[in-house]
Amino acid sequence: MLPRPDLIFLLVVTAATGLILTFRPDLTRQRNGKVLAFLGLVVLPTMSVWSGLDEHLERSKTREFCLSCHVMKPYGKSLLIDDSEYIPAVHFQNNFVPPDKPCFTCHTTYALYGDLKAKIGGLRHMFVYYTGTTPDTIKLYKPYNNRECLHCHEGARKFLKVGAHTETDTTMASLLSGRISCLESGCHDVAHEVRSLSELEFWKGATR
Amino acid sequence: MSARPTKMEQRIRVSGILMLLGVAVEVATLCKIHPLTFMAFTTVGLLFFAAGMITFLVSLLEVGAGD
Repeated sequence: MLPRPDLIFLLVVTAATGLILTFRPDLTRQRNGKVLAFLGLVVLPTMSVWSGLDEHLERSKTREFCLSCHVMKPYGKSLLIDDSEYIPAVHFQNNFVPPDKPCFTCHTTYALYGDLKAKIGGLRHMFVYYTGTTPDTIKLYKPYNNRECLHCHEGARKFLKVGAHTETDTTMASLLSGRISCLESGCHDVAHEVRSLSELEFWKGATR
Repeated sequence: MSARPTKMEQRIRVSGILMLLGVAVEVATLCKIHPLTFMAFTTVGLLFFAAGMITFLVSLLEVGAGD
């Protein structure tokens, strides 16, 4: 995955300016040289760092990033399960979530600091992965919040037409408030199920 | 005949080298998508960039003093 063209250009300009100042620091004896030094050693590096951080943060949301740790590979494989009962699989295979960011789309929160909290959690995961022991069973810290489902499904025609969602006068309100979980047993309770991957079939037509 | 580099010019040279190292780390970390490259950029890369900028800014403070 190549960086954005503007970042590549910025890095080339920063490097070129750095080389000029390294091999010809005497240029800074003139006024224009001083301006060049300020641009090349303060302004351009600041822009490079900012753009680089932005690029890295965007990359940290990708499927490739998540699955680069081997403990996550079964979860990546579960996205190709050939069974529409499996929620992650049906979302991924039908492009209901961005195919390049399926993990981050569902496993972050849509609250105000969702992205930042997700990133801090990721740092902790990295620390445990490289310095500690990853648990045999990876679990969510908190029950999956309906908000992550309703972010897309709330108000959708298909969602409103399902009988179970409007079974009683209070069912919909309970779903929206989180009193009833979307992932409750009997409803949409089949997620990654990585322990049973060897018994399942996978989508053979997958191109990604 | 080129004049001997001043103290400020030596600092600018050091600053340039540090900044180039920062660019090199950034380029290297952008070659692969992995948590470790993310960490390498945010630690080693930022360290080089910061060191380069601080070296230059400190040299500005010493301009005219003993040069």
